[in-house]
Amino acid sequence: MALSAGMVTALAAQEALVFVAVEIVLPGPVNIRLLDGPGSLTFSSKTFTGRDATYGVLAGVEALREEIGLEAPRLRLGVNPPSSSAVSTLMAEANQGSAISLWLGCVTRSTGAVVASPELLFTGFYDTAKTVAYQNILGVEIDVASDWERMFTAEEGARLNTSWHQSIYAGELGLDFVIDSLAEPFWGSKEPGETGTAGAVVPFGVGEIWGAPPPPPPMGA
Amino acid sequence: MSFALPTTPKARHHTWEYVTKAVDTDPPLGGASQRLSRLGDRFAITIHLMTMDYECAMAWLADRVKATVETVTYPVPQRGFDPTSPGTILVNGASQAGTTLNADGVTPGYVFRKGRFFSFTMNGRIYLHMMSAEATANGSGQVALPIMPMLRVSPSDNLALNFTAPRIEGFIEGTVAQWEAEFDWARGGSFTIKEAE
Repeated sequence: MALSAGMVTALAAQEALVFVAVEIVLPGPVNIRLLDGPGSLTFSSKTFTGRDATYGVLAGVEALREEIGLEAPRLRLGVNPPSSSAVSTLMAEANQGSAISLWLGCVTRSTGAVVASPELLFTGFYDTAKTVAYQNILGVEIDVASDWERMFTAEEGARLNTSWHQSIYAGELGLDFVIDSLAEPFWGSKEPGETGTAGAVVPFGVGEIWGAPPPPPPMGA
Repeated sequence: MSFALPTTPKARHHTWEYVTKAVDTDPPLGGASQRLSRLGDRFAITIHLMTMDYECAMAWLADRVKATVETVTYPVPQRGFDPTSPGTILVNGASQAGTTLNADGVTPGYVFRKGRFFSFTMNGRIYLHMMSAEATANGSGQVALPIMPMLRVSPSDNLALNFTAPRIEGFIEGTVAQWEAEFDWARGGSFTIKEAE
């Protein structure tokens, strides 16, 4: 879809005030709408804030790039939740499949209004999540699969978590404590999981989302 | 939670910083550059303390320790400028955003100086702003205040604007409180308060 005329004008200016907005719709539904900076912006009848009182702030978003896709595009984003209960909610197994969207937009500085219309850059679904805890970081890293992956999913609704697994094989604990079982369907000619070659994902390290490289391991580790 | 830092003994001097996350795209081949700004511009102030008697320094030192877990507030130094009260200044209208803040309750004809600081408290947090241009109240005591940075939170209607004794609130940067103490004196060094939001 082409950028709106307003966005084209705003992005062509000598100085552009840009923002990233992320919407996570967890079961409930619980709508978490976050901006990448302090403030509050409304577009498409949705209000996004820089700090959600319950779920915290957006810590970072993996770099996106657009090119010919040889593997399914994915996205990783980080949230800094303010409490352990928020971490728990964000990490819940039932979140798998929840809709996640990401927009890039511009703001008119003088009025604080959003320039019509922000560009929907990514729409996908919650795949897996893990907690990230380092010396100066406590966050939840969410791995988002593209909506396009649904086209390759033979069994829509099947999840890679222990609750789903045990609903079929009761008592089978093979997926207990497994948090990193990504849904990676084959897409084109590349094997899933090879990042940096195509799709929307570029090589990724902790520093890319969390703003600082992880500290070295403790002595003797 | 926040608490007020001591005001005596006064700081030796202050260093101001206007913090932004803007980046300049600078084409290596010499093309025109562009500035990409982000939301959330805000102020930071570095307080440089004098070397002082240990007894005088005790309150500062204790608060430096306390500030490792709480935000602090500190009066905005505007030495040489007399911030007389031009009335009871209130926000005029809800849902305001951007770099203009409508206010009322001002003494008619009062001129707000460019560069003057003011603050307001919203949801328990202090937000500091600066006048980016001169503005004059009309005959009804209303004024459109041109401000920087742009509003990071929309103040509620009739919220009080603090022009006479504005304050900055934030964490002291760094998680280590450090000072030198010898004989009967202490040197608290310098530390920076950066607005958290």
